[in-house]
Amino acid sequence: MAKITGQVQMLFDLNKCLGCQTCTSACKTAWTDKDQGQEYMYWNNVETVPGRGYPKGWQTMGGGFKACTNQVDLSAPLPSINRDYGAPWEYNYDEVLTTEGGDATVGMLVPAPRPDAPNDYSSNWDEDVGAGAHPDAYYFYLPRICNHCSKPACVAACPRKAVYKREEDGIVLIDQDRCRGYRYCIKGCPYKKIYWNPIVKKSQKCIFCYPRLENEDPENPLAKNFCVTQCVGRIRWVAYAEDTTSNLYKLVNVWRVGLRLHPEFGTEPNTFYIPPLSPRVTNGTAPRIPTDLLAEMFGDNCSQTFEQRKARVEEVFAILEQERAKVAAGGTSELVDILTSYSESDRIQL
Amino acid sequence: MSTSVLHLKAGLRRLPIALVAATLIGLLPATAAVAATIQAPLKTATDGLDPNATVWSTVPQYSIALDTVISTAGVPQILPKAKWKYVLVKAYQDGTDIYFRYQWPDPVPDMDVSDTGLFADGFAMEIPYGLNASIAMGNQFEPVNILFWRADLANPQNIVAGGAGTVQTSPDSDDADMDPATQPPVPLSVHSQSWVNGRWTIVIKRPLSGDISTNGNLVALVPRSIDSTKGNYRITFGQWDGGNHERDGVKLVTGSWQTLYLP
Repeated sequence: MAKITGQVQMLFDLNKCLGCQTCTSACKTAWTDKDQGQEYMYWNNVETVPGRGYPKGWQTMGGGFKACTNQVDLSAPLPSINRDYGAPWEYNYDEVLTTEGGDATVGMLVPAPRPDAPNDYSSNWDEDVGAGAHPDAYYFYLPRICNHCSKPACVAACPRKAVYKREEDGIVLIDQDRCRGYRYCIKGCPYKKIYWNPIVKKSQKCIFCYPRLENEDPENPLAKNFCVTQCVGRIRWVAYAEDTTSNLYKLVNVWRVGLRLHPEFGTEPNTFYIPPLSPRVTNGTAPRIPTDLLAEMFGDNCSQTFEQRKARVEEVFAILEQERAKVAAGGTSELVDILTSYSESDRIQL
Repeated sequence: MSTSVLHLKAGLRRLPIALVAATLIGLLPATAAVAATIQAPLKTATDGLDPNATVWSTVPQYSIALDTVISTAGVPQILPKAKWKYVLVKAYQDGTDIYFRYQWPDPVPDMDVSDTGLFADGFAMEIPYGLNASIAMGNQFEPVNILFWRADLANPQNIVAGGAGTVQTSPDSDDADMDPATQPPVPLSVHSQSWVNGRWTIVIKRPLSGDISTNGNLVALVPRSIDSTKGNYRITFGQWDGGNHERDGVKLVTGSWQTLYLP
């Protein structure tokens, strides 16, 4: 692989995500809302944690690099569109949602998923279900895109070299002319962020909105990734990893509050998450969202132990709480200023 | 002792181990196939796409052995499990086109790729442009021409390859992603397919001519009766069972070049 001279990165502050799915809608509308075969694709999705995610059970489905080696794991089963993503459906506009005519006795959805059937599922199916018992029930939202990994398992898995990582910005793309539909990339990606298009018979994925990055609008230079610009909660930061002046760089490398999702997969993802704080449990001191759960999901690198990851999550929480306390006491904090993100230019620095 | 000799000796020491290992994991054919000469006689019939056309009973049939090959690029997670390991081949030409009829048993026809885990049955015939091309899809300097049938495609794909992982489809090929405005109305190679009683029968028809200006990347096939220096061509075959998730280098192939003879 050629040397990567630049690397885009994205950071998500999970303390700010309100699960509104505006990012999902923006991405869907821009990229996967027009062509047949893409109905079930959500290059950006937001899932509730704890939950099964999208596709169902992706966190334990397999892929990535075994034990931090260079051997890509291709033993994972391929997720089924109907079973693991959920059969695509549409509102029954003609019969139900028109103001005149129509047959109100037919279903609202075509085809209508039946929640009682084991094979019915869809994106965001587990929304707000969470875990735990009242008053200590808990959940948080997890936005996900392709991580445009520094060590992409999809690239390693493709015998055609149809999946490639761009030298100039590290964006991982699938050359639609080279793809022969072997689907090794889907097996290889442990985040299951590559989708099979059964109509064009090729695999497709998040493109990090590269056409928007390449064709900057001089009147609106911040019009970059749709999922970032449309984010109501202002939870996303984008920048090049090499830009040491960016707020994303400061969050990850100076304040060290950004963690990687499942770094044990060994792909060195270029997305980072600030883990969610939560209130204390009733009559206790532990956070309502178990730190163990977060440590199972987030860490810095592939080789960290669970205990090291747990310590890092607790360290991030300590930093966040310390800086918040400063501001609450009338002081100032660069970290809180960055996280507050007063303007788009504070978050979009590509 | 010079460095190059040291390298040579080290290489020789490793060779037997490498051969054994390659054979064990299936990189090399487990058995050597006996090469056949497949005769494609001149016939007047132009209805060869019908696999039951009378003409097919008038041309010889060849049984070609197939061996297991596993992609050198991928991890051998699946093994071809076909029990038949042969393909029945017939061929004839009518002076303009050449017809190939292939038959093999397959208990289940796999034609559906509508879900991520579904793969279609496939078959490929490979003819090299030159004399020294590698049987394993050619190499950088000696490319090969492949006609690739897959049960879900409208037409066979016309492919040029210069080694594993280098497949390029010709513009005349079926391609669902192709802009309809640029797709020729009539593909160069056409086919018929049928699966009856546990057996695939496919017929691939292509022009004898390989004129690039009109026929894309096809290797020209000239009968001996037209040019006494021509008539003999190398040919080999590959086969995929979609139900076993076979694709790419996970397939059955003929272990050696066969001869295609046009009298």
